[in-house]
Amino acid sequence: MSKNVFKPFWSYDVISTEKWLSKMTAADLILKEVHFKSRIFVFEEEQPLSITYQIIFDKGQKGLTKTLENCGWNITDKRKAWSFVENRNQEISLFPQRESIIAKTKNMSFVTFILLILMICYEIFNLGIQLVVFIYVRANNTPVEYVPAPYPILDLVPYIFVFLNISILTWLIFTFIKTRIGLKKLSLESGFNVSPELLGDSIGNTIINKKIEASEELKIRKHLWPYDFVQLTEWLEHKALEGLKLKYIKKRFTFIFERTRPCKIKYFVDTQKKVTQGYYEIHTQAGYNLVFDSKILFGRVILWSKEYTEGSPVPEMFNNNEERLDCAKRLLRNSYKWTIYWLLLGASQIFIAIKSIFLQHRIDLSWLLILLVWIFCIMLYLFTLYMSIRGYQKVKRKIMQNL
Amino acid sequence: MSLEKVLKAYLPMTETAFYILLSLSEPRHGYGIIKYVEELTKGRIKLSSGTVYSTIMKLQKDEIITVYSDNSRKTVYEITEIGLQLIKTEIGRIEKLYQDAKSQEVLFHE
Repeated sequence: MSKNVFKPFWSYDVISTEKWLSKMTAADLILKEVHFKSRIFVFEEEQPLSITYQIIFDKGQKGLTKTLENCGWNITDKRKAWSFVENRNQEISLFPQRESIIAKTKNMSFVTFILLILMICYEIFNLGIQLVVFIYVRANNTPVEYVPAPYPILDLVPYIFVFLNISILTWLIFTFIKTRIGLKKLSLESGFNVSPELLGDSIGNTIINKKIEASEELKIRKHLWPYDFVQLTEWLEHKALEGLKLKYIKKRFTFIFERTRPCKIKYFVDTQKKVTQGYYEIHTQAGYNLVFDSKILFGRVILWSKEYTEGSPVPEMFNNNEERLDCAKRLLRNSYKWTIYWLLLGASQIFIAIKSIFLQHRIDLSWLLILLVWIFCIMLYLFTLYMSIRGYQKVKRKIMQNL
Repeated sequence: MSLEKVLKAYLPMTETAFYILLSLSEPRHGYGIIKYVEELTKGRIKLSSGTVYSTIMKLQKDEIITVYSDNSRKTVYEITEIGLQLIKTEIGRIEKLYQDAKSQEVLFHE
């Protein structure tokens, strides 16, 4: 006997879906196939079994490797990049990696977030106009006349429009919350933060140990640190010698120190195009302590620390200067990767302003205001860019001095 | 990436990439690679975690190694078929290099 179950949002929180599939086996229902388009899961009744399921998202569609097959993994159903795999062994030594599914969930969450912002802006604009009209009509006692539509069915259009609006908004909010929950579960499963830019400090920095006695705490605010990492690390290393160990950075600019005995600590600032679970594992197992990991200004900044003793080798995160310089370049790239965006935005504003001068022989004041705002933003941006380049040059000089 | 392209891009291999692949004769954790290389080279090579991670990412992107999770959900790396061909070719190249060096070594001794 087979049973069909409709589960429309299974991909938002894959860990929940996997657990649900395993629970179904307890009710003697084994997953046989998935109708991906209609989102229907087809189960068949079988002897009670303990089955572990995992959902895989693999853009390359390479399928399971021999190693995974030897560990007992089999594909239950597959469509394009999505696969449902199962393992009937009691003890499983290897699992398919989660990196792709984390990236996919992050992507879904981010796109939903952008759409939600646009939708909210649109709703505010729409409601604003209606409110202005309403106030105007009430204030002037303008008589309002109801004109029936030529076809009665057209009277339903505004209601359909409102219904669609509410449905889309609800769906976006639901998707955003579900994908965030999905990401949090993936974070908890791995023990590491998978998406600080989405989850924020409170959930994002779960692996940063923030336990500290208030009496042993010292707060220092430092605003320009993302532009000068040499100065930052030297300052932190000096603080450690004074007996102040950095525990974490609160709200991106408040450095929380713990009073300890004077010690030697080496700090490293890093950024990566792709940060995986393996990134945290390798560094923490190598003895590094994560003190900051978040999106700051234009890119992700990760700060590590490692204590060492007098006479022992000074810790080094990279083996050679080429890699140290590559890391500094990546940090610099965080600052200038938005240049084209700013320039295009500015060019479009100038173009519109010039066009209005030629066509209407006057400058539209609203455009002039936008242009001035843009000039202010670009000045600010150029300042940050200059500071970042100066910071990079400093790193480069330090590396050259150590040659 | 095809084997031909991999061989063209990676040969001769960097010391880091070579030792990472050499350590993946069996699936290992990232830090396991560092420890294995240190033991294998009797402390001559101590790979830094940042260096290993950057190289692993590159090797993974080019499908030379693949990644899994173990039963405690920690990342495990394994060499792929392409990676196996690459390391075999590199070992063969180093062998020839060694033979040539040995045959000429006497000329450099007074």
